[in-house]
Amino acid sequence: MTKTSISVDHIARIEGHGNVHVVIEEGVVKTVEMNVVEPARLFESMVRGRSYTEIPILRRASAASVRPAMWSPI
Amino acid sequence: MGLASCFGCQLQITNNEAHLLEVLGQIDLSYWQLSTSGSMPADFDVAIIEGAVTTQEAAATVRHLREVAKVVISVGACANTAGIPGMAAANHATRAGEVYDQLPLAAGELVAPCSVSSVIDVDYRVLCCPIDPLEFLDVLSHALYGSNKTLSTKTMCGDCRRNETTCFYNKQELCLGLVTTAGCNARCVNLGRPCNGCRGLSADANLAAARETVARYGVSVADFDKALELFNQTSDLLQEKE
Repeated sequence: MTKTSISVDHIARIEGHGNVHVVIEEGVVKTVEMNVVEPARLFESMVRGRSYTEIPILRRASAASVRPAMWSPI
Repeated sequence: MGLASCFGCQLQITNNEAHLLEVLGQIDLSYWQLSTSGSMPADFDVAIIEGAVTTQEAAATVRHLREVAKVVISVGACANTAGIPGMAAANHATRAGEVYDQLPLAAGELVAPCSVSSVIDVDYRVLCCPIDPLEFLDVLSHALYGSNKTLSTKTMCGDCRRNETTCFYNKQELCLGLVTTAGCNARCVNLGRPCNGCRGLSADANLAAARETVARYGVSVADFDKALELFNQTSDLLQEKE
């Protein structure tokens, strides 16, 4: 029996869009690539030296914010 | 087309539920990342761009759209003033290294964030962060049927006078309405919040007089200047007026 297993264990800190490319040859998955296509806006660098009262405004623009998991947390 | 942004302005367009069917009856929606999964057609009558330009690829995309579209509309603060992404424009080259070990390859070839209208000429603009859904429909109808209506250049304080709302400066609170482009009917002030300047600096703004006023009401001029950066970091107008 053929077994298909697709695991997405944890995709965190990514906004609502990306690309997924799956190459299947004769029923066998050869490669799976995920691309994070959201432009990097460097939010962590923007908030340095700003008043905490401005963060809700900054956050509105990052409401569905986007930082690939490999980036360091704030 | 969505560039560096939160897609919130595109979402605002979908929030026009009451009018969407009527709008869709007047256009042939050929490409919209947020709501369709088709590929981009060869040309457009009207291209609508949200977001700031933050990569070389994005700059190439907007130049391409300008070539193939008869009319270009830039929507939202990011597309029109570089908005919040513009906050990363100053010292852009060294910024990433300050807070991240490394940028992923997917980040692309970063450029200092700038507005769409600084890369190409745009025909119509819908300002604000996020845009007002009905203002978008108004501008779209101008693009579809032609209009020579121009955006207001005046500052917002007159709107508050007409709305008979209380001035935040009377409460010693910072508000950017006194230098920000009018046109939203002082929506935030009507909701009890000071203006944060998301429509961008008004062409009619008098910064020297504004700073004098800020100081006279006992509000920090340094705070005023810092708040002004939020949506005007890359503004030519701000440089000119300084």
